Amino acid sequence: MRRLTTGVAVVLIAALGVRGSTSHARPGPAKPAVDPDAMAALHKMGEFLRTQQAFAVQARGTTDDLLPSGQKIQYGVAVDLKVRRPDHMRMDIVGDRRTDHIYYDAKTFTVYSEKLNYFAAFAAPATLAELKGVLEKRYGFDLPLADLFYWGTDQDSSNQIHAATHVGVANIDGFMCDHYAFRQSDVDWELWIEQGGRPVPRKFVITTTTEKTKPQHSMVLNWDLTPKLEDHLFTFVAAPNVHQIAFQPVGGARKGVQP
Amino acid sequence: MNKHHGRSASRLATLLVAIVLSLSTTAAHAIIVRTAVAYRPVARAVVGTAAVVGTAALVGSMVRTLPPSCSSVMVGAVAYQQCGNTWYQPQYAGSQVTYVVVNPPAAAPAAPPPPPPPQ
Repeated sequence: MRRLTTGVAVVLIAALGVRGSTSHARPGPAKPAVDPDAMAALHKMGEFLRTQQAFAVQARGTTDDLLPSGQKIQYGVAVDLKVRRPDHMRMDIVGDRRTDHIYYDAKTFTVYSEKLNYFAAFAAPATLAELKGVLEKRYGFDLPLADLFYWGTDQDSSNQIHAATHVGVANIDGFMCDHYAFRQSDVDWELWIEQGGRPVPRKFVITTTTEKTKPQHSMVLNWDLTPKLEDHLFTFVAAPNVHQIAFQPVGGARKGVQP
Repeated sequence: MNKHHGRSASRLATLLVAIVLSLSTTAAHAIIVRTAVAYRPVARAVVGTAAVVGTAALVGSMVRTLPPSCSSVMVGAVAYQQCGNTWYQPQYAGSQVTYVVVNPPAAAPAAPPPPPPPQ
Protein backbone atom coordinates (compact mmCIF):
# COMPACT_ATOMS: atom_id res chain seq x y z
CA MET A 1 0.00 0.00 0.00
CA ARG A 2 2.81 2.36 0.89
CA ARG A 3 4.35 1.57 -2.47
CA LEU A 4 1.14 2.44 -4.30
CA THR A 5 0.75 5.68 -2.39
CA THR A 6 4.26 6.67 -3.27
CA GLY A 7 3.44 5.86 -6.87
CA VAL A 8 0.54 8.28 -6.79
CA ALA A 9 2.74 11.00 -5.38
CA VAL A 10 5.34 10.44 -8.07
CA VAL A 11 2.72 10.64 -10.80
CA LEU A 12 1.28 13.77 -9.26
CA ILE A 13 4.64 15.44 -9.19
CA ALA A 14 5.26 14.38 -12.76
CA ALA A 15 1.92 15.80 -13.87
CA LEU A 16 2.60 19.09 -12.13
CA GLY A 17 6.00 19.20 -13.72
CA VAL A 18 4.62 18.78 -17.21
CA ARG A 19 2.01 21.46 -16.72
CA GLY A 20 4.12 23.87 -14.76
CA SER A 21 7.32 24.11 -16.79
CA THR A 22 7.75 25.79 -20.12
CA SER A 23 10.50 23.51 -21.37
CA HIS A 24 11.28 19.85 -21.25
CA ALA A 25 14.61 20.45 -19.57
CA ARG A 26 14.57 20.15 -15.82
CA PRO A 27 15.72 23.29 -14.02
CA GLY A 28 19.35 23.31 -12.90
CA PRO A 29 20.55 21.93 -9.58
CA ALA A 30 17.83 20.57 -7.35
CA LYS A 31 16.71 22.91 -4.58
CA PRO A 32 16.71 21.63 -1.02
CA ALA A 33 13.48 19.88 -0.08
CA VAL A 34 12.68 22.65 2.37
CA ASP A 35 13.14 25.89 0.45
CA PRO A 36 14.21 28.50 3.03
CA ASP A 37 12.40 31.20 1.04
CA ALA A 38 9.12 29.32 1.32
CA MET A 39 9.59 28.90 5.06
CA ALA A 40 10.49 32.58 5.38
CA ALA A 41 7.29 33.53 3.55
CA LEU A 42 5.31 31.35 5.94
CA HIS A 43 6.86 33.01 8.98
CA LYS A 44 6.47 36.47 7.50
CA MET A 45 2.77 35.80 7.03
CA GLY A 46 2.53 34.62 10.63
CA GLU A 47 4.30 37.70 11.92
CA PHE A 48 2.03 39.94 9.91
CA LEU A 49 -1.10 38.25 11.21
CA ARG A 50 0.15 38.50 14.77
CA THR A 51 0.40 42.26 14.43
CA GLN A 52 -3.28 42.52 13.48
CA GLN A 53 -5.24 43.40 16.59
CA ALA A 54 -8.59 43.21 14.85
CA PHE A 55 -9.60 41.58 11.62
CA ALA A 56 -12.55 40.12 9.82
CA VAL A 57 -12.36 37.24 7.38
CA GLN A 58 -14.98 35.98 5.01
CA ALA A 59 -14.10 32.48 3.90
CA ARG A 60 -15.70 30.01 1.55
CA GLY A 61 -14.54 26.50 1.11
CA THR A 62 -15.11 22.83 0.69
CA THR A 63 -14.36 19.70 2.66
CA ASP A 64 -14.25 16.20 1.22
CA ASP A 65 -15.89 13.38 3.06
CA LEU A 66 -16.34 9.70 2.31
CA LEU A 67 -19.61 7.89 1.97
CA PRO A 68 -19.73 4.45 3.61
CA SER A 69 -19.29 3.06 0.07
CA GLY A 70 -15.94 4.79 -0.14
CA GLN A 71 -17.11 7.37 -2.67
CA LYS A 72 -15.65 10.80 -2.04
CA ILE A 73 -18.13 13.65 -1.77
CA GLN A 74 -17.76 17.36 -1.13
CA TYR A 75 -19.44 19.65 1.39
CA GLY A 76 -19.39 23.42 1.23
CA VAL A 77 -19.14 25.99 3.98
CA ALA A 78 -19.04 29.75 4.37
CA VAL A 79 -17.43 31.22 7.46
CA ASP A 80 -17.63 34.80 8.64
CA LEU A 81 -14.97 35.38 11.28
CA LYS A 82 -14.44 38.46 13.41
CA VAL A 83 -11.53 38.72 15.82
CA ARG A 84 -10.41 41.27 18.36
CA ARG A 85 -7.18 40.09 19.95
CA PRO A 86 -6.45 38.63 22.28
CA ASP A 87 -9.78 37.54 23.65
CA HIS A 88 -12.79 38.23 21.44
CA MET A 89 -14.12 36.20 18.56
CA ARG A 90 -17.32 35.77 16.64
CA MET A 91 -17.84 33.19 13.94
CA ASP A 92 -20.87 32.58 11.78
CA ILE A 93 -20.75 29.24 9.99
CA VAL A 94 -23.21 28.43 7.26
CA GLY A 95 -22.51 25.06 5.77
CA ASP A 96 -24.14 22.06 4.22
CA ARG A 97 -24.00 20.30 7.55
CA ARG A 98 -24.19 23.07 10.13
CA THR A 99 -25.49 26.56 10.69
CA ASP A 100 -23.76 27.65 13.85
CA HIS A 101 -22.86 30.91 15.49
CA ILE A 102 -19.92 31.07 17.84
CA TYR A 103 -19.31 33.72 20.48
CA TYR A 104 -16.28 34.31 22.67
CA ASP A 105 -15.94 37.36 24.87
CA ALA A 106 -12.99 36.41 27.11
CA LYS A 107 -15.35 34.91 29.68
CA THR A 108 -17.70 32.54 27.92
CA PHE A 109 -17.59 30.41 24.82
CA THR A 110 -21.00 29.82 23.29
CA VAL A 111 -22.11 27.87 20.26
CA TYR A 112 -25.64 28.39 19.02
CA SER A 113 -27.30 26.14 16.46
CA GLU A 114 -29.68 28.33 14.52
CA LYS A 115 -31.40 25.36 12.91
CA LEU A 116 -32.09 23.55 16.17
CA ASN A 117 -32.59 26.50 18.52
CA TYR A 118 -30.14 25.08 21.04
CA PHE A 119 -27.03 26.61 22.50
CA ALA A 120 -24.24 25.34 24.70
CA ALA A 121 -21.63 27.29 26.62
CA PHE A 122 -18.67 26.93 28.94
CA ALA A 123 -16.49 29.23 30.99
CA ALA A 124 -13.67 30.04 28.60
CA PRO A 125 -9.92 30.59 29.04
CA ALA A 126 -8.52 34.08 28.76
CA THR A 127 -7.06 34.03 25.25
CA LEU A 128 -7.94 32.74 21.81
CA ALA A 129 -4.84 30.55 21.63
CA GLU A 130 -5.77 28.85 24.90
CA LEU A 131 -9.37 28.59 23.80
CA LYS A 132 -8.41 26.70 20.69
CA GLY A 133 -6.52 24.15 22.78
CA VAL A 134 -9.49 23.66 25.11
CA LEU A 135 -11.89 23.26 22.20
CA GLU A 136 -9.67 20.74 20.50
CA LYS A 137 -8.55 18.67 23.45
CA ARG A 138 -11.43 18.89 25.90
CA TYR A 139 -14.40 19.17 23.60
CA GLY A 140 -13.23 17.83 20.25
CA PHE A 141 -14.80 20.93 18.76
CA ASP A 142 -13.76 21.78 15.23
CA LEU A 143 -13.23 25.50 14.89
CA PRO A 144 -12.98 26.48 11.22
CA LEU A 145 -9.90 28.58 10.41
CA ALA A 146 -8.62 27.79 13.89
CA ASP A 147 -4.98 27.82 12.92
CA LEU A 148 -5.17 31.52 12.30
CA PHE A 149 -4.92 31.75 16.06
CA TYR A 150 -1.88 29.53 16.34
CA TRP A 151 0.40 31.65 14.26
CA GLY A 152 2.68 33.41 16.64
CA THR A 153 2.67 30.77 19.30
CA ASP A 154 5.20 27.97 19.74
CA GLN A 155 2.59 25.46 18.68
CA ASP A 156 2.65 26.04 14.96
CA SER A 157 4.59 22.84 14.30
CA SER A 158 6.46 24.34 11.38
CA ASN A 159 9.35 22.02 12.28
CA GLN A 160 7.22 19.12 11.03
CA ILE A 161 7.44 20.38 7.47
CA HIS A 162 9.74 18.17 5.43
CA ALA A 163 9.20 19.81 2.05
CA ALA A 164 8.50 23.43 1.13
CA THR A 165 8.37 24.87 -2.38
CA HIS A 166 7.42 28.08 -4.15
CA VAL A 167 5.13 26.86 -6.91
CA GLY A 168 4.46 30.11 -8.73
CA VAL A 169 2.20 33.14 -8.81
CA ALA A 170 -1.57 33.09 -8.94
CA ASN A 171 -4.45 35.52 -8.97
CA ILE A 172 -6.93 34.81 -6.17
CA ASP A 173 -10.05 36.97 -6.37
CA GLY A 174 -8.09 39.77 -8.02
CA PHE A 175 -5.14 39.66 -5.63
CA MET A 176 -1.75 38.51 -6.85
CA CYS A 177 -0.46 35.78 -4.58
CA ASP A 178 2.59 33.59 -4.17
CA HIS A 179 1.66 29.94 -4.22
CA TYR A 180 3.56 27.61 -1.89
CA ALA A 181 3.41 23.87 -1.35
CA PHE A 182 4.38 22.09 1.87
CA ARG A 183 4.53 18.49 2.96
CA GLN A 184 4.18 16.88 6.35
CA SER A 185 3.97 13.24 7.32
CA ASP A 186 0.20 13.01 7.00
CA VAL A 187 -0.79 15.97 4.84
CA ASP A 188 0.28 17.95 1.83
CA TRP A 189 -0.87 21.52 1.86
CA GLU A 190 -0.77 24.58 -0.32
CA LEU A 191 -0.93 28.20 0.63
CA TRP A 192 -1.49 31.32 -1.42
CA ILE A 193 -0.06 34.42 0.27
CA GLU A 194 -0.95 37.90 -0.96
CA GLN A 195 1.95 39.79 -2.51
CA GLY A 196 2.86 43.26 -1.34
CA GLY A 197 2.47 44.99 1.97
CA ARG A 198 -0.10 42.72 3.58
CA PRO A 199 0.96 39.07 3.36
CA VAL A 200 -2.31 37.43 4.37
CA PRO A 201 -3.30 33.90 3.41
CA ARG A 202 -5.76 34.17 0.52
CA LYS A 203 -6.31 30.48 -0.05
CA PHE A 204 -5.23 27.14 1.30
CA VAL A 205 -5.74 23.52 0.33
CA ILE A 206 -4.99 20.61 2.62
CA THR A 207 -4.72 17.09 1.23
CA THR A 208 -4.84 14.19 3.64
CA THR A 209 -2.26 11.80 2.25
CA THR A 210 -2.84 9.01 4.73
CA GLU A 211 -6.27 8.31 3.23
CA LYS A 212 -6.50 6.31 0.04
CA THR A 213 -8.88 8.79 -1.54
CA LYS A 214 -6.74 11.80 -0.62
CA PRO A 215 -9.59 13.98 0.66
CA GLN A 216 -9.05 17.72 0.50
CA HIS A 217 -10.11 20.73 2.50
CA SER A 218 -9.94 24.06 0.72
CA MET A 219 -10.76 27.63 1.75
CA VAL A 220 -10.52 31.02 0.03
CA LEU A 221 -10.21 33.95 2.43
CA ASN A 222 -11.23 37.55 2.03
CA TRP A 223 -9.67 39.90 4.57
CA ASP A 224 -10.74 43.14 6.22
CA LEU A 225 -7.92 44.45 8.41
CA THR A 226 -9.78 47.55 9.59
CA PRO A 227 -13.13 46.22 10.71
CA LYS A 228 -15.48 47.95 13.12
CA LEU A 229 -16.19 45.35 15.78
CA GLU A 230 -18.56 46.38 18.51
CA ASP A 231 -18.77 44.62 21.87
CA HIS A 232 -22.23 43.20 21.39
CA LEU A 233 -21.03 41.06 18.48
CA PHE A 234 -19.10 38.81 20.84
CA THR A 235 -21.68 38.03 23.52
CA PHE A 236 -24.55 35.65 23.02
CA VAL A 237 -28.00 36.56 24.24
CA ALA A 238 -30.52 33.74 23.97
CA ALA A 239 -33.92 34.45 22.52
CA PRO A 240 -36.84 33.08 24.59
CA ASN A 241 -37.31 30.07 22.30
CA VAL A 242 -33.63 29.07 22.40
CA HIS A 243 -32.68 26.51 25.03
CA GLN A 244 -29.38 25.68 26.63
CA ILE A 245 -28.05 22.15 26.37
CA ALA A 246 -24.93 20.50 27.78
CA PHE A 247 -21.47 20.77 26.24
CA GLN A 248 -20.15 17.24 26.43
CA PRO A 249 -16.37 16.86 26.89
CA VAL A 250 -14.55 14.26 24.80
CA GLY A 251 -14.88 10.84 26.38
CA GLY A 252 -16.97 12.28 29.18
CA ALA A 253 -19.09 9.60 30.75
CA ARG A 254 -22.67 10.65 30.74
CA LYS A 255 -24.57 9.87 33.88
CA GLY A 256 -28.31 10.16 33.67
CA VAL A 257 -30.09 13.39 33.04
CA GLN A 258 -28.27 16.60 33.71
CA PRO A 259 -29.83 20.00 33.97
CA MET B 1 4.43 22.20 -28.21
CA ASN B 2 1.38 22.99 -26.16
CA LYS B 3 -0.41 20.18 -27.83
CA HIS B 4 2.34 17.80 -26.85
CA HIS B 5 2.23 19.04 -23.28
CA GLY B 6 -1.52 18.62 -23.26
CA ARG B 7 -1.26 15.02 -24.37
CA SER B 8 1.39 14.21 -21.81
CA ALA B 9 -0.57 15.80 -19.02
CA SER B 10 -3.68 14.05 -20.18
CA ARG B 11 -1.95 10.68 -20.23
CA LEU B 12 -0.54 11.25 -16.78
CA ALA B 13 -3.87 12.45 -15.47
CA THR B 14 -5.54 9.34 -16.83
CA LEU B 15 -2.94 7.17 -15.17
CA LEU B 16 -3.41 9.10 -11.93
CA VAL B 17 -7.16 8.67 -12.06
CA ALA B 18 -6.74 4.97 -12.70
CA ILE B 19 -4.47 4.55 -9.71
CA VAL B 20 -6.70 6.61 -7.44
CA LEU B 21 -9.73 4.63 -8.51
CA SER B 22 -7.97 1.34 -7.91
CA LEU B 23 -7.05 2.51 -4.45
CA SER B 24 -10.49 3.78 -3.57
CA THR B 25 -12.20 0.48 -4.28
CA THR B 26 -10.82 -0.80 -1.01
CA ALA B 27 -11.62 2.35 0.96
CA ALA B 28 -12.35 1.79 4.60
CA HIS B 29 -15.79 2.53 5.92
CA ALA B 30 -14.53 5.02 8.45
CA ILE B 31 -15.49 8.57 7.67
CA ILE B 32 -12.57 10.90 7.88
CA VAL B 33 -13.09 14.62 7.78
CA ARG B 34 -10.17 16.81 6.87
CA THR B 35 -10.78 19.89 8.90
CA ALA B 36 -7.55 21.34 10.14
CA VAL B 37 -5.98 24.44 8.78
CA ALA B 38 -2.53 25.53 7.80
CA TYR B 39 0.42 24.03 9.50
CA ARG B 40 -1.06 22.30 12.45
CA PRO B 41 -3.30 19.79 10.78
CA VAL B 42 -5.15 17.27 12.87
CA ALA B 43 -6.93 14.36 11.28
CA ARG B 44 -10.15 13.46 12.96
CA ALA B 45 -12.08 10.27 12.74
CA VAL B 46 -15.79 10.77 12.97
CA VAL B 47 -18.39 8.23 13.96
CA GLY B 48 -21.04 7.15 11.51
CA THR B 49 -24.01 9.35 10.82
CA ALA B 50 -26.82 6.84 10.78
CA ALA B 51 -29.33 7.17 13.53
CA VAL B 52 -29.99 4.08 15.54
CA VAL B 53 -33.64 3.59 14.86
CA GLY B 54 -35.17 0.51 16.34
CA THR B 55 -37.05 -0.92 19.18
CA ALA B 56 -33.97 -1.29 21.37
CA ALA B 57 -32.96 2.32 21.97
CA LEU B 58 -30.59 1.81 24.86
CA VAL B 59 -30.46 4.49 27.49
CA GLY B 60 -27.11 6.18 27.13
CA SER B 61 -26.69 5.46 23.43
CA MET B 62 -26.05 8.44 21.18
CA VAL B 63 -27.25 9.32 17.70
CA ARG B 64 -26.42 12.23 15.42
CA THR B 65 -29.80 12.41 13.74
CA LEU B 66 -33.21 11.78 15.20
CA PRO B 67 -35.81 9.47 13.74
CA PRO B 68 -38.70 11.26 12.04
CA SER B 69 -41.69 12.67 13.92
CA CYS B 70 -40.13 13.85 17.14
CA SER B 71 -41.39 16.69 19.22
CA SER B 72 -39.37 19.17 21.20
CA VAL B 73 -40.36 19.11 24.87
CA MET B 74 -39.17 21.25 27.75
CA VAL B 75 -39.35 19.75 31.21
CA GLY B 76 -38.42 22.47 33.59
CA ALA B 77 -35.30 23.99 32.07
CA VAL B 78 -34.24 20.78 30.37
CA ALA B 79 -34.70 20.28 26.65
CA TYR B 80 -35.81 16.90 25.33
CA GLN B 81 -36.87 15.37 22.06
CA GLN B 82 -39.62 12.83 22.37
CA CYS B 83 -39.80 10.31 19.54
CA GLY B 84 -42.58 7.87 20.22
CA ASN B 85 -41.72 6.19 23.48
CA THR B 86 -38.08 7.12 23.26
CA TRP B 87 -36.75 10.25 24.89
CA TYR B 88 -33.58 11.96 23.78
CA GLN B 89 -31.60 14.70 25.41
CA PRO B 90 -29.71 16.96 23.00
CA GLN B 91 -26.13 17.94 23.74
CA TYR B 92 -23.17 19.44 21.93
CA ALA B 93 -20.60 16.70 21.40
CA GLY B 94 -17.71 17.57 19.15
CA SER B 95 -18.87 20.28 16.76
CA GLN B 96 -22.50 19.32 16.56
CA VAL B 97 -25.66 18.56 18.42
CA THR B 98 -26.10 14.88 19.19
CA TYR B 99 -28.88 13.10 21.02
CA VAL B 100 -28.55 10.73 23.95
CA VAL B 101 -31.29 8.28 24.79
CA VAL B 102 -32.50 8.95 28.33
CA ASN B 103 -35.17 7.63 30.62
CA PRO B 104 -38.43 9.54 30.31
CA PRO B 105 -38.25 12.54 32.61
CA ALA B 106 -40.23 12.27 35.82
CA ALA B 107 -42.60 15.01 34.83
CA ALA B 108 -42.95 13.87 31.25
CA PRO B 109 -46.25 15.01 29.82
CA ALA B 110 -46.79 11.69 28.06
CA ALA B 111 -46.11 9.59 31.13
CA PRO B 112 -49.14 8.14 32.89
CA PRO B 113 -50.08 9.89 36.10
CA PRO B 114 -48.45 8.39 39.16
CA PRO B 115 -50.63 6.06 41.20
CA PRO B 116 -52.27 7.69 44.17
CA PRO B 117 -50.30 7.23 47.34
CA PRO B 118 -51.64 4.48 49.62
CA GLN B 119 -54.01 5.79 52.23
